Amino acid sequence: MSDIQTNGQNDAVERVVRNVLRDILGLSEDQVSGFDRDTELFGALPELDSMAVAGLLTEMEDRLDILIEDDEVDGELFENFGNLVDFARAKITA
Amino acid sequence: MNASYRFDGNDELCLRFGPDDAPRLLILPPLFDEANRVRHLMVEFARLLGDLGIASLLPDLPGCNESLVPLATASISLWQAALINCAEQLGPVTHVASLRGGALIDGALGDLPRWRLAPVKGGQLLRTMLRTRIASDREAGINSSSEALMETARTSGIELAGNSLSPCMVRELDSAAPSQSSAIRLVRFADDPLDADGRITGAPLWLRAEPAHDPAMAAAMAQDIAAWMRG
Repeated sequence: MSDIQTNGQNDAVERVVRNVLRDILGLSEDQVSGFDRDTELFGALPELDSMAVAGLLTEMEDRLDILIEDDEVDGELFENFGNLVDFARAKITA
Repeated sequence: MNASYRFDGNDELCLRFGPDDAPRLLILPPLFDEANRVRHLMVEFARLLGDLGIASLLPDLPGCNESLVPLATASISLWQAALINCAEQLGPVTHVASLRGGALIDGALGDLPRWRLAPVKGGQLLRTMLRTRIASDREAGINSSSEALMETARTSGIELAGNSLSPCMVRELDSAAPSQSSAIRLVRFADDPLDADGRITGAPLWLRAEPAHDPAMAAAMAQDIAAWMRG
């Protein structure tokens, strides 16, 4: 089970981020359901190279209807699942 | 099964499937890297369509797959011109099916009935390629931005994620969107929240970091298209 605190619409954001990771990395539903805040991403998942990151950002933009600027993308964003979900939520409420 | 069509002084590969005397479906794969990731899926689903009695053409676009032409000479309008030649030489084509960016060129043959799976705008494809370029620039210690890269690209062309894009390609791709028509069947995945005329079970294999195949999805695509073509 996920430790991520969720409520209402934010549940949907977290679900979208999980689905994008599932689709880009070819993970199973069970694998992405097991992701929690501290699940490491960049460096821990060998498939997540710079090409995959580029696709991931564009898919997040498309599915969440947000715009991600070049300078918002840094190593910290992909450090763990929690950071990525927090970022997506902040973009939606911005 | 292997055929070719002549375009601009070159022979371009075109795979043919199914019976010779049946209505012919033109199949357009996704564009750029996305096409490489779904090659297996495309061939498999065309073969399955053949088993269902539907003939199809799966042409190489100039500059892509086996084509000997440099990608740097290609553009959206050039690809559309190539499709017209392909249909004239290997058709007649009665229907068109596309995945993703293939929808950006599916109006080449006029207002034929069109099937689209998860169509995408050209700007989105360009954005993803720009991001890989920015990431590799960063690793090389160069600080680049989308705006600056696009400004150069529009006038001098650009190399993005291993693709040499001409200024013409950059400009056309940036503004390309799937064209409107009354005869479109829009298909999406079951878990996609966007509107669609039909849903199939599967996964966006064109996004995968590692290429994969999904036989069940190929079958679902073939069945949906066969039912649509038979009206």
